[in-house]
This record gives sequence, structure tokens and C-alpha cells, in this order.
Amino acid sequence: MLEHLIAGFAIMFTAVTIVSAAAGLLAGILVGALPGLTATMAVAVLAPFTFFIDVSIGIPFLLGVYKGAIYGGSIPAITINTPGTAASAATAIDGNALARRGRVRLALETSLFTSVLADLVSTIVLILVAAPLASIAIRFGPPEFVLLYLFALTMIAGVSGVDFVKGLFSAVAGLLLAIIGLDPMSGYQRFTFGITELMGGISLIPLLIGMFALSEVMIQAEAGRRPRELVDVLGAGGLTWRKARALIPVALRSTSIGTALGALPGLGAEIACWIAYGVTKRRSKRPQRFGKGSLAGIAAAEAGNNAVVPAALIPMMVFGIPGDTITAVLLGAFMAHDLMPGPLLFDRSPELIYSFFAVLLLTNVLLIGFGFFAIRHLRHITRIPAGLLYPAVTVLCFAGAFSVNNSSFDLVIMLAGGILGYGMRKVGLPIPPLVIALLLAPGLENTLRQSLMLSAGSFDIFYTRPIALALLTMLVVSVSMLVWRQWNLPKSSHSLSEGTTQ
Amino acid sequence: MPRLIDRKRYWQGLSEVPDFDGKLLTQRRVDMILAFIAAILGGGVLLLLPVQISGESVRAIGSIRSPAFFPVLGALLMCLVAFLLVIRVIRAAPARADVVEEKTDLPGVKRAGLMGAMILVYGGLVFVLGMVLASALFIVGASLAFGYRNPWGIGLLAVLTPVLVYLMFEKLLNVLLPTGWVF
Repeated sequence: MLEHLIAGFAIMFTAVTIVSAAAGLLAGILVGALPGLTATMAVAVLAPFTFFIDVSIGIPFLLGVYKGAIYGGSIPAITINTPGTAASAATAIDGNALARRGRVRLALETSLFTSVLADLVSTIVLILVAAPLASIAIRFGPPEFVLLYLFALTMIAGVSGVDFVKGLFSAVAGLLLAIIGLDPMSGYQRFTFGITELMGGISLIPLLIGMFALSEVMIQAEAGRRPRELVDVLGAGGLTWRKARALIPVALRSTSIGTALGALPGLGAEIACWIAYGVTKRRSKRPQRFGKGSLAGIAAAEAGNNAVVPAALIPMMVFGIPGDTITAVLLGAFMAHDLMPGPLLFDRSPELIYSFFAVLLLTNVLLIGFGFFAIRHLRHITRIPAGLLYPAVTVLCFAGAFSVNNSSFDLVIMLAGGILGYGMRKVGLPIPPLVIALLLAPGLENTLRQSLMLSAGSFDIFYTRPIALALLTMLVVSVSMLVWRQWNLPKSSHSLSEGTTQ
Repeated sequence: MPRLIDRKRYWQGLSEVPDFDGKLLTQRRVDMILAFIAAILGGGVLLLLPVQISGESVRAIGSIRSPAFFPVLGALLMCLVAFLLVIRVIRAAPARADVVEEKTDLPGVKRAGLMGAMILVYGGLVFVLGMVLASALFIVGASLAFGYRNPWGIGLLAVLTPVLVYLMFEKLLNVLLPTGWVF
């Protein structure tokens, strides 16, 4: 492992790669700091820029964007009480309360310190865990992968929205979209409606740009102009070593929560920040301080969401299964570079995988410098009016979507994705299950048909092999829990009844 | 990550979707609509199978090797989702009248519709005027639609953004942008 990591560092420690990762980090912080521009949107819109450059430049750029956007979201959360990304929602509670007491600098530096610490620990976990997991995953056959795909889809459908049935709707819609194109085994056309451009299937990146970026532009247009009150004075007294040391136990506990949740499909930084915040508040000796500018509250939320970033790469790198929408877009970018993450990539090009891990460590160091720069100067970009921001983003969406295949049909897919994404968000259908199902469907179809051919059509193959049986048990338990939760939803989900709370 | 539906309204049995009068639809109504869409999708895939799958007769659908195997599975799952939604609609009590009366921000929905229409028109104009000119026009229109009124800001953005995008894609990355009849 160590020799691969050293080889990875050797590959990545070139001036171009470092500049690329730094540019990605800065772009990510900028986007994250702009309320309404999400981390997924940032990666989706910027991904096409990387398709035309070498993988050792493009992927570090995107990893930098991912990491920067999650951290950047804390800046407007603290200064204007508006989370830049959903992952920073919990940070706003104590961060903005502290800022209103004139301690903006302390709040921002606490956020930076815990973000860097959580990110570092989670990256180390990724490095230590990924290779052993990949050595197990390489023994997986088609039946194990079928069950793994189903487990991932069930989890994503179950936990990414308010209710399981809508999540299931979204996931199955993704599976149906994926059948458009050529049958992977026979090469026959399926549901192409005579359109040549559909023979290669639905173009993923234009669809993602539409669903995440264009739908966001429409949502923001719907929201209209909202006055934002910027807490403008940094205030005296930043984070001292004494205060930082006192926060380390909270940060490490929240990091472990973020890492565990990030490694599971479906649970992203948006959920991890709230769970880490809730656990910290419950275990605190002074819970009454939470909500009034508690440093532990900021530390918990930021460590929780930043720890998810490297951890979410575990299922993507090891099994080729994206844990959330950002890793789904990243997986699309990997595929555009002819890289298919999974156990085979660990076996064939370990130095390449470790070079990406080296980038994560590198961006962690860079985040310290960029973070201090952002604290001093970038908090003012939250003042950019929506009327300037979103039209420019839309133009970038069009340019990016077209450039993927130089195809005007991709613009049609993007526009359709925008309308579909807006509609789904309005009726409460979660988008992540659709996107991830669309990505996993080809693998699921192939492995399912291979498994049934191996067993001559018998379903025994899914429970007569030890690993498959373990995965099947996990699947049954998770489905049972989700069905139980769904069945026990109060009837008030459909009709008002007094006393019902969130 | 997309914004989830407003949880407070959700637990009150309300969606974020307004009807034509601006009243919010109940979750029950939304479930009914979704059940209908799911049935159309699932049923539609099954009905279109013989026409939309080339080179294979309908008789081979049951075979694992058939290209129809996975589409049938997906369509059946979608029908199951429709069934679950119908069950939920039947189980749920109709919402109380006072809840149904709650109104939403209809101008907001209209603003979103206007923005959607502008984006669609922009998509068409790109192939008439070319990326640079169409983008400049779109930026002017969209900025005004967002309520931004500073002419200098709009003018600068309308010139700089398309030019920078053009230089970045066409000159730096050597990637073509859509061209129109004009440019």
C-alpha cells in the first residue's frame, strides 16, 4: 500500500497537477460560498471542462471542486445565515449566532480548522480501508454485484427523500431511462424511437447539468430576490490553540459519524452534518449553549459534513457504486476518461487510484491556505446578485452540455433534464435515486443476466454463495426496515392532524 | 443535493404544487397524479415492447438473453410503484378543507415558468444566432427577469460572459460551441 501511495505522490506531484487541484479547490470554494450554487451543480457544470485534458489534471481539478464546495458552503452559512450548500445547513445555526455577536473570524476559523481535521482523518481512513475492501470485492462474482447494486439502490431510494415510495418511483424511473439505447448483450436497439442519437443511451452529463443546474436556476427564479444581511466585520480574536485543542474530541467524534455515513450509499453530507450536530448536542454538558453561538456546534456540523467527502469515495472507488449525487457525477467524469472505478482498477492501476488519494491529501493542505484567504476576502462574494449569477450559470450549462459530445441533441437532453428536475423537486420526488439508478442500471442488467445464465435461470445462486448470502441478508434487513418505517408513517403525511410535528 | 420538499408542509399533507388558482394540492392528490404517471410509464413500456425492441420477437421476452428481459422487469417494477401509490391514496384520509385553502406564491411559480420558457427560447436561438449572440441576449433577458436593474452590470455581463466562454472553449480547450446562421 505504501509503495503505491508513494508512486501516487510521484505521479501527482507535478506543477500542472498541483495548480489544477488548487484551481479546483478555489473554484469549489467560490461556488460553495455562493448561496444556491450546490456542490453537485458545481461538479456537474465544471466536469465537461476536464474531458479534454489529461486525467492527471482533470480528476484532481474535480476532486478539488468537490472538497472546496463542501467547505465553501460554511462561509455564507456563518456570514449571512444562508447555507451555501445543503451540507452547511447545521453550521448556520451556531455559526451565524456567533457572527452576530461580532465573532465572525472565530466562527470561520473554527469551521476551517474542523473541516481540515475531519477531511484529513477521513482521507486516512479511505487510504487504509479502500485496498483491503477492493481485495475482497475482486472475489465478487455477478450475483454478489447484483445484490450490492440492489442494496445501494434500496438505500438511496429509502433515505434520500421524505418517503420510500417516491424514492422507489425515482429509482425505477432511472432504470427505465437506462434501457434506452442498445442492449448490452445482443446489440439490438431498445426504445430509441428511431432517433440515432439515442442509440448510445441518454447522455449522462447533459442530463445531470439539466437536472441539477437548470432546475436550480428555475427554483431560484421562483424564489425571487431575497435581501441578505451580511455580517461584515471580522471581529477581533480568532481561534486560539487552547480553544482548538478543546474542540478536537468533538471534531473526531463527528468525523467518525461523517465517515461512517459517507461510506454508506445514499447518506451524504447533508444528513451527516445534522446527525453529528444532534449527537454532539445530546452529549454536551451545556446543551443550552447550542443555537446561541456554540463552538462545539460549529465544529460538529463542519467535521460531520467534510468527513463525508473522502468517505463517499470508498463505495465509488472500491465497487464503482456512487454513494451520492456528487460521486455519481464524479463517476461519470471518470468514465468519460475511460476509467471504470472498481476492484479491477485497484488491481490493474493501483498507482493511479493512489495518485487520487494523494490529491486528496494535497488539497487538504491547500485548503488551509485557501481557507484563510476565503475568510479574509471571499465572504464578500455572497453579495453577488442572483440576477447576474444565474444567467451566467445558464450560459455555462449550455456550453458545457454541448461540448461533451459536440451534439445539439445533448442540449435537448439537458433542457428535458431541467424541466424534469424542476418538476421532481416540486412534487417531492428525490433526484439522487434516478441519477444513481441510471448509472448503475447497465451494471445491474449485465450482472443479473450473467448470474441467471450461470445458474440456468435459477435464483439459488443468490443465496447459495456465502458472500451473496451475507449481502442478501443486508438487503432483506434494509428493505424490511424501510417498509416498516413507511408503513408506520403517520396518516398526517396525507392529511392534517393536530399535534403532528416534523 | 436538491432541496427536498418543504417538510412542514409535507407533514401537513400539502405539496408544493399549486393548482390553477394558486391553492396547494394535497399530498394525496400528488400521489394520485404520480400513480397515474407510474401506470402510464410502466404500461407504456410493456405496450411499446414489440415496436421498440428491434430484431427480437415478442415471444422471446421471457428469455434471459432477450433484450426485452430488463425492460420488462423495469416496467413491472413501475407498475408495482403505481400500485403502492394507489394503496396509499386509498389509506389516506382526504385533507381538511382549511388546509386545502392554503395558497402558495403563484407569482413565484409564474417567474419559474417564465425562466423555463426563456431557457427554451435560448436553446432555440443558439442555433439561429450562434452561442455568443444568443447568450448575450439571454443574459439581458434573464437578468431583468431576476429583477436586476443595473444597466451597466447587465451590459458588462452580457458582453463578458459569452466572450469568455467562447475564448475558453474554442481557443483554450479547442472545443466547438454551437454555431447558428448568423455567427
